[in-house]
Amino acid sequence: MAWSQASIVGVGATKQGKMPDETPASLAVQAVRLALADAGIDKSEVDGLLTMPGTQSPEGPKNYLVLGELLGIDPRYTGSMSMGGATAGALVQNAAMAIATGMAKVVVCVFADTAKTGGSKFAAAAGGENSWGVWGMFGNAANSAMGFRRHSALYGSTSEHLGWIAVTTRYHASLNPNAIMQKRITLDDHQNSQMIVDPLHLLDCCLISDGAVAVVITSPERARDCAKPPVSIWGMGQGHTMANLMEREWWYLPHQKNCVADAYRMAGVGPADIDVAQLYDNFTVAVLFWLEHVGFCKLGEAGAYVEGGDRIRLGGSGIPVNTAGGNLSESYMQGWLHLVEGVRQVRRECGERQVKDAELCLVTGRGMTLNTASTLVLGPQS
Amino acid sequence: MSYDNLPPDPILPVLTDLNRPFWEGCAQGKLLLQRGKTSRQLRYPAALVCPFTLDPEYEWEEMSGRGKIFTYVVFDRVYHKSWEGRTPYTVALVELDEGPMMLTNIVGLDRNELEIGRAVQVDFEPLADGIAKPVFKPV
Repeated sequence: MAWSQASIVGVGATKQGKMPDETPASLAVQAVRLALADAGIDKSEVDGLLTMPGTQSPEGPKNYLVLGELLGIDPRYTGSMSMGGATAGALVQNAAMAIATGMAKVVVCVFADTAKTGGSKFAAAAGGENSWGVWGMFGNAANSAMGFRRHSALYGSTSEHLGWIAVTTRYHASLNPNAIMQKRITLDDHQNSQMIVDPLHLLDCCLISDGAVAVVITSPERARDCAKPPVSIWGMGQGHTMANLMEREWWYLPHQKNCVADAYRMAGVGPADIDVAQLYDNFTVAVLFWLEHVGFCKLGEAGAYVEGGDRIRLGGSGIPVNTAGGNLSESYMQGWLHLVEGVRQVRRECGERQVKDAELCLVTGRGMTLNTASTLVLGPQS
Repeated sequence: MSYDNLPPDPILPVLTDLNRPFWEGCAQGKLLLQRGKTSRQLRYPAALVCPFTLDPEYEWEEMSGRGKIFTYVVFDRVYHKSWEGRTPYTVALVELDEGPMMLTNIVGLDRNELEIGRAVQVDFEPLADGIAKPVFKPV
């Protein structure tokens, strides 16, 4: 029996790419307008505002104040959260809980960033007080590369396997007119792309982008009168590993498996019920791990699973993954566009890249130094 | 291993009252980790309390310095000016024989000689006057 006590009724995404004339604030306003129009809800009804500050919002955790003033909202429920790529899902979960408890009636969640124009490199050293810089451990790619190297040694996954994820994701982006990278690539392109941190190549890495996304959440009752078919939150989960070096399996993100299991349990479904999945892909290897964590294949078998791309491709023999192109090829909105695509797939409005008869979409997010994860199971509202 | 011609401006550890014994140990060629008094568990990096029991009492204990490569990456690109002239370099997780995991560098092994499970031994690389960092070299 699905949870289904809150529904997503509107999504809005701005143009993505490099937009030097925009600011995070100007993009946020565009996204909120688009999302409210998509929902057919007037701004005067919004009584909840949850935000994720981007890299170019110096106010950081006070981002909700900046956007609340700009949007002219005096919310009953608000706040900002920074859990990297797990934030989009986590904020929607907070919104859903606020709706279910009656603390708010219509919650808008928003993320905006000008990371491309602002020159964000996502190259800081990790560890407490950036202490890993002493050993030259810089950039988000290196953490994921550590995990892939071990997966590769234990289970035989290869760089070519990662290449199939990159190639397939790009193919999906080629069907998405809003994707930044629409030119199809080959396995050779992947293998010949510059090494960023061995074993990860350039085409294993996500984009860096300007853009904004907003999502509107309300009650199932209110959702019935919205402009588009409501998308119900069937289940949700979170899991986190904070201990880093003290957790021997940190490299494998064991918390991800737990957060997906919680979401399945809440939704009353399992991996076999999922029709389409948006799996957070800051790097190709993230998808490799998710495929095992979400149960599309067994531990250690994700390499073979993605071989040739057939089981993750639209129209293939498995469950299509990252149908809009993901962080790798659509745009790096830190998982917010995964949410948008998940909603659109359940509404069946994705045109050429629509998964036929899609009912249930799994949306996952992960962030920080392989620390945080969130999962949503989205489905039709009964 | 020679440490001649080190480029200028290495990134130095931020020393605190808490982690100073660790770094002073390194400067003296000793790898010291905290062991919680009630849990008897080792922990790294230096932490205020034992993450198992929240006990603030601990003692510093010298490790054997032996361990195995748990996983590793190789940097070909320079992310920070202090690493100019040092690429390629290897960053690894080393699992000490005593259990704890350390993020560190592997020295003295070429890319094609690196292997998960390979036995390594701690060494100490001078960063500045009186400061050295633990790195690991093949046994």
